Amino acid sequence: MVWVAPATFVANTALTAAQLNTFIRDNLLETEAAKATTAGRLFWTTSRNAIAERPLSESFVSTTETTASTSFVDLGTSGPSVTLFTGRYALVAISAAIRNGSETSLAHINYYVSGATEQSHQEQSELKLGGNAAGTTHPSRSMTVSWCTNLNPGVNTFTLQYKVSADDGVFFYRRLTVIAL
Amino acid sequence: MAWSAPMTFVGNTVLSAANLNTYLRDNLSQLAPAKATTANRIFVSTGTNAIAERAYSTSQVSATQTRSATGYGDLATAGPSVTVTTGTQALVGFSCFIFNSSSADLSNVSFAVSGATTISPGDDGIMHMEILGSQSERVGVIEYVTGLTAGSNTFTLKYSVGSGFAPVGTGSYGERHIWVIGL
Repeated sequence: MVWVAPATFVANTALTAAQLNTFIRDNLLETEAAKATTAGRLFWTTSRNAIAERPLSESFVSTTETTASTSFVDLGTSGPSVTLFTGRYALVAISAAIRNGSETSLAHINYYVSGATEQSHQEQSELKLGGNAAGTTHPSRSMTVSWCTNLNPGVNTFTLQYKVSADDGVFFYRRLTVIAL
Repeated sequence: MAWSAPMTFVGNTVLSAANLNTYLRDNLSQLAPAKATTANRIFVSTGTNAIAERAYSTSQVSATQTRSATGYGDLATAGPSVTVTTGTQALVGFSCFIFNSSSADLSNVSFAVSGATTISPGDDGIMHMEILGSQSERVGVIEYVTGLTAGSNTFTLKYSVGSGFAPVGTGSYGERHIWVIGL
């Protein structure tokens, strides 16, 4: 059922079961209390007079791994990866501690979407950090938060991948957070 | 009172006060307008057919101060820090500008949780920033924190240098900002 604008009740007219079912039962079933299933979720509008409960999810891979690939690939331990039900949008945060063996090279991370939507890595969501000063091995750690659009509503999987501009990139503390909208 | 799945009304049957109280009064009392108390808050689910109003809070410390210790701790002006009522989860964002006295050393920022929950900064799974070098950079992160004990929780920024690497230099941190949305 869908939300129906509540009737204006008029004195001296019969109140029917059909009215009670439409304006009380069915409308109550469209409210956030009726739709709440799991703690810690948010409510978003999906269209006029319609809302949905949406999840947040996060995945973390601590494994330190490397790649010299100049196109996005999985590391030896793939991911992190998050699968959840979304509407047409999601807020996606990606982060990692990154270092590159060369001072002049960059290491990149970005995500792609699979499942209800097939969406390749988008430039506006990419995190890329510069290489290390000569003789150092310290990583840098940072994050990007981006608005993922044009999703097909349904179960979508977000997966983090990695590449370098040159030389060897080292990636650890890899994290992916998705807020479904 | 709790939410009750609305009944299906049937023609030619008595509509009782008990029915109206259960399915209309009590259910309406479980909805967002009934639970709204303060402007600029959000609603989250807390379980099946249950919601709660949740607050957000922000805090900032502008002072630029230094630290040379490898373990997380406070600067001369501690914080910033916010206290909010949360369920078992929260969204935490923090940022600052950050640099080290040496171009080869790391400066780190994380947060601790105290109150209903105790979480140490830099623990596995807790986001932290590690910024290399002596150029002043401003960065920020968002952390989806789970495993909290529901109740009043305080989130406080903490600072360190190094990360198992030596030497560690002196980290400088300024325009320090934290926000938390209780979930």
